[in-house]
Order: sequence, then structure tokens, then C-alpha cells
Amino acid sequence: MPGLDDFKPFLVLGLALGGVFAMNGVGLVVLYRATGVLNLAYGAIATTGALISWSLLGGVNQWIAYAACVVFGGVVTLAYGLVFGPPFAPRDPLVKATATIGLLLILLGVMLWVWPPSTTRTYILPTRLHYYEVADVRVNWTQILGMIFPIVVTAGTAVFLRVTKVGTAMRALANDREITAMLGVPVRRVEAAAWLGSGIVCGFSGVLLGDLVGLDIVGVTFLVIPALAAALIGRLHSLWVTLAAGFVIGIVQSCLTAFTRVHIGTRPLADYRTITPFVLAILALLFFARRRPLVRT
Amino acid sequence: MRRSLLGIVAVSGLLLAACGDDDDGGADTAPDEAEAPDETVAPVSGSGSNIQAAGECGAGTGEEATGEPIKIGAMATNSPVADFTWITGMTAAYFECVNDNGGINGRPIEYIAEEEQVDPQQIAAVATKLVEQDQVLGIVGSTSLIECSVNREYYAEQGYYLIIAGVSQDCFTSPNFSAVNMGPYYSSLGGAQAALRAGAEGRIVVASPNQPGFDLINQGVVDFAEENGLEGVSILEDPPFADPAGFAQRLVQEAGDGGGVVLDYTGPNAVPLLQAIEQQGLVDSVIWASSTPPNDPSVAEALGPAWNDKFLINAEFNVLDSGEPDQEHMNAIREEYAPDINLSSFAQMGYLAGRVATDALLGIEGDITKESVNEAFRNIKNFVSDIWCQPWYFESGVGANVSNNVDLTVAPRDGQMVQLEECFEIAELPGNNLEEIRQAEEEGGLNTGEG
Repeated sequence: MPGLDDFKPFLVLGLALGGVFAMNGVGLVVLYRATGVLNLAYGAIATTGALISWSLLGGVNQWIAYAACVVFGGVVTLAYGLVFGPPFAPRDPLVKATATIGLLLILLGVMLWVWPPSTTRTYILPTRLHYYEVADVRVNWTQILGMIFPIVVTAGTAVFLRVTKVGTAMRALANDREITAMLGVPVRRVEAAAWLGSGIVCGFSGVLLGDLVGLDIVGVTFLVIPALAAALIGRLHSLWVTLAAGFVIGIVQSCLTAFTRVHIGTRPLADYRTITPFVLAILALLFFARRRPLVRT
Repeated sequence: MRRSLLGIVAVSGLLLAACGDDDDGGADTAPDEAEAPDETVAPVSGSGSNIQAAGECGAGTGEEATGEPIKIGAMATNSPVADFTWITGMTAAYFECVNDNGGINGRPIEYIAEEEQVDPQQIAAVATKLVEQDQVLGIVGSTSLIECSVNREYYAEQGYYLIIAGVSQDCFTSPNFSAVNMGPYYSSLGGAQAALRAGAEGRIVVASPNQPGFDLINQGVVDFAEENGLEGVSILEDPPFADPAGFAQRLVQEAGDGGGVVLDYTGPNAVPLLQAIEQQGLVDSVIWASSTPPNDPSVAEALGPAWNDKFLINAEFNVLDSGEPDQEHMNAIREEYAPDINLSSFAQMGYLAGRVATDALLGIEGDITKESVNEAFRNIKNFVSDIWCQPWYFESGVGANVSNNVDLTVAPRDGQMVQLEECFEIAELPGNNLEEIRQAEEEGGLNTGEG
């Protein structure tokens, strides 16, 4: 069993990792609440934006290159929402979610074609070069931003939904799209705002992920999975629970890394740490089902 | 109900994804203080009979080959874990150059290079297609994570002798395969030898992708560590790393103060990990070493000066800017025929496979048939190239071929890969057959550079 000292670095690194999961999870929930769409292409949009940004580095001012990732996230997500949002609006959430897999596969194909994975790519933000020592671990400013950014986004979104007209309209849409439309709310415009906002958050996460995780196309694209687990624990509704779940998943997953001498079968427990999001999501769903059992009507 | 259904689908997606996703020291010994290996081997100089003159390929006539094509096949892994298509790509580039220079006695080589995604059924099907549908006369440049294990019996039944770049140990334990490289088992072992010479003590950790056969590959380093009074630790962790900083911390914790870590990942997968190691200030915590794949100038460019001489890469081939004739020849062909392929050890593997195969094909007297092509491949010996430490041969005669078993150590320095150690012999262990093979080499004069 590892001692407390063994956990220290992983606690700190887990917070940074959890920030990434939380950031994506909150982005997923915001869009789902406003449009009913679970955007499974979230990671692919972030990765494509980061790769565009990487391609621009060296050719243009670095801040323009980073901004390109954010702009790409916003534009592509908005475009998808404008084109496919209305026809899919009356459909089941399952159909809407499945449709986003189409976007994911298109972006994945484009990325593998334009940026072959066999090429070594480096994407280092200036924030990585400045760091603090915490519990024998160097925490750089990208990691700190990765922890702060989801909290700011969550708080900002919560305030936005509560105090602005568009936010109120989004909450109404989340309750009942048809009644909201009958009340004269410009539904398409409100949904477009949700798509754009979610895409911009996605673009920001692309910039941070490029630095935190690297530019591996498949790896970053499928980081949406732990974020999805966080969103599920938040029941695709609560921004704050999603935020907390993201951090918990990151911390648990990271701390399991220290269990190198505890074995399950022939493999150390540390080797199983990547299943953390799935285990926690299943436990949360079972817990919710127990509290509010499904009633067959 | 809708939300519940969506939740079930999302969890199912998570589970599916889970199925596809199986992980302050005191070692401040500067690797540039690494001792010279005990057993060094004089490298080949660029003057042997097989060294290609500048601007020539194959027969070197300068005329395009127009006769009936000679079909040669290959398959390479192209998956998120590993992409070996640079190797077949470089072999294809060399064959293109051969075809522009008279081909094989006027006949062009038609190179059919397939890709696979580490699926045994697909790999078996591709081999059947190459052999029975395309009716290739020989197989050259194949590089796959598991193909040797899947198809070794099939190729033996069909009478094929393949010139490959080997990965799994099955590529090095069959008389039907001979690799231009030494593969991750021997290369990781070479990395561990370099780490030990650089002062690694206590534990040596070896980390490889969690793919079939890699436990056996790691076992070589574990055995070597134990032979030398150290503890060996094997870690299987699939790239890409979701948390490179956490994995870096784990490696250092496992190795302990002053230990050694041998990585077995391709350059694009290793770089984020190496950058996280640097960012975490762990470069000097242990001795870092690696098998061949990161011997790639783009890796050196991606690493900061903190890594100067501190990442000991076992290089199965000479450095890419050696200036020696064969290396320059390869660089020129790559630039002309395959500029998209990075200058790398993978490119060297593809080039060498094409070179030795072409030489054998040009030496065939009489009809070029499946039998004569494979017989010519089997008979290759003493093939000299300055890219290898020692001349290359196909068949050792002991039922297993490790024709490249002497290599060197390189390291990144100021954005370039530089040679750090002279050519040295990969360690003979009870778990490998190098002792028997070296004895056969000596008795058969297989790699003396003569004859």
C-alpha cells in the first residue's frame, strides 16, 4: 500500500487532469441543456482546432494561432448547430447524439489525412514555461489554467443562465422547446447562441489540451469519454456536479497510479486506472436509479 | 425515459471504449560520462561491394524499366498505437528508383504494400491475398505488430522467405523471416545496457505498449537487470498517454533513486512523455533510455537542451547524418521519391529492405520465379552497408535469424541526434539465442564482409 507521500504528486496532477475532464464535461452539459444534443464530436472539434493552431504557429503571431483554435471551435460547432440543429430538433436525444458521431468521424478522417499521426508535433503554450513547486510536483500555468478555467466557465454559465434574457430562454428551452417557441422566444437564435458558446469553450479546451496532453489525434479526440462520464454523473443537468465529478475522476484516476505494488491478478492496480471514469459513472447511475427507481407506465 | 436511454447508450459507449483501452532521485550521472561498451565492434566503413554509388539504384542504367512487372508484396501496421507505413513507404521509394534505373534486368518491380490494423483475421486475409490472389514472388519490408505470429506457419507452408523489419519475437525465431532491424526485444535490451553503463542502479524499468507479445519483449530487459544484480520491472502502458505527467511520475517512482527507465515507444508517442518528464524536473532523477524508434531528428528538435545526452537511444542503425555513402544515398532517394517520409530509423529499415532485396533479385540467373526469388533472399550474406554496424545476412542456419545484433547508442543534443557510443554487441542471455547465432555467424562467415 503506498504511503501518503506517494500520493502527493498524483493528487496535484489529478487536479490538473480532472480540470480537463471537468472543462469538457461542463461544455457538454451546457449544450445539452439548451439544445438536447450530447455533442460526442466535442473532442474531435477541439483536436482539429489545436492542429490548425499548430499549423499556423511559426507562420503567424502565436496568439493569432491560439485564437484560431477558439474561432474554429466556435464556427464549426455553430455551423453544425445551424445546419443540423433544426431538422434534428424534434428527434429523440439518442438520434441527436448519434448524428454528432458523423461529425466526429468526418473530423477524424480529415485530421488523419491532413496531419498524419506518424509525425512528431510539439504544442507548448508560453504558460507551460512558468511553474510552482507543490508537493514535489511542478505545476505549470497551463495546468493551473486547466483547473481555473472550468470553474470560471461553470460559474459564468450559471450566472448567465440565471440573469440574462438569453440564459432564461435557454433554461426554458431545456424544459420544453415547443412551449417556449409558442411563447415567442426566438428558439433558433437562442440555440445558435448555445452552439456558439459551447464551441468557443471547446476551442479553449483544444488549446489547453494540446499543451497538457499533446497533439495525438485519437488520444485527444477520445478524451471526451471521461468528460462524458463526468456529464453523466451530473445527470446531464447540473453544471456544478459535473464540474466536481470531473475533478473527482481526475484525482481518483491519478492517485491509482501510485498503486504499483497492489496487484489484481498479475497486473498492478495502476494498470487499471483508465477505467476510473466508467466505474464512477456506473456507480453514480446505479446510485441515482436506487434513489429514484424507474417507474414503468 | 429518453434521458435514461441516452444514459444507457452513453455508458455502453464508455464500456466499449474501456475495452479498447487496456500507466527525487539522485541519478545525476550525466550520460555523456557513459563508459565505452566493453565489447565494441568496429563499424562498417562505406567502401564495401554493396555500397550504392550516388544517383544509382539497382542496375543504375538511368533508363525506365518497361518489361513484365515482378510482383513483390508487403504489409505494415497502421493503427493509433503504431504506424509502420514509413517503412513500406521507403521500400516503395527505393523500388521506384530501381524502376527508373533499369529495374531487374529491364523488368520493373510492382510493389504491393498493404496496411493492417492489428486484427489477426485481417492480417491472415491480407497474406492470403498477397500470396494467392496477387501471386507476389517475394515479400519485402513487411512490418507489423503481430503479423509474424499470425502468418509464420502460412509463409513456411508457401515457401516464402521474407525480408522484413521485425517487431514481435516471432519475427526472430523463425527461419522464414530475417529482419534488417533487431526489433524491440533486442533494442530495449541495448537501451538497458546503455543505461547500466551510464550508472543505473537498483532497478531498471521497461515500459512498452500494452500489445500482444510486448510482455515477452519486456522480459529481455527484466532478465538482463537480474543478470546484473538489479531488479527488473515491466510496465505495459498503451499510448497515447492521457496524463503524461502522471505516467512520468510513475516511471520515476518505480525505478527509484538512480534507477534506469527504458522506453519502447515511437517518437510521436514518446515526445509528450519526454516533455512532461522535463517539465516535471525528472530528467536527472533516473537514467532514461529507449529502443530505436525515437532515433528521429524530429524528436531531437522537439526536446529542449535539458535532454542533451540524457536520453540514451539504442540505434539499430548509424546516425542519419553520418555522411557515409549509403546513408547519403538513402537521404537523396527519400528526398526525391518520398519527401513525406520523415528522415528516421524507420526510413532506414525500409531503405535497407529494398536494397538487399534488389541486390538479391539482380543476382538471379535464369527465370525469376517465386522459388528463385526466395532462394536468392535466403542466400544473402555479407551484405555491406554503412548504415549497419556489421554486414547483414538472411539465414543463420540455427532456425532463427537475428541478423542485426550489433548496434550503437545515440542521444539528442541541441536539436540533433548524435552518436554517444561505439557499436556494441547486444547482450546474450539465457532467454535469447544470440550465443548460438553468433557461433553460427562465425562458423559460416555470414557477416565478415567477405564473399
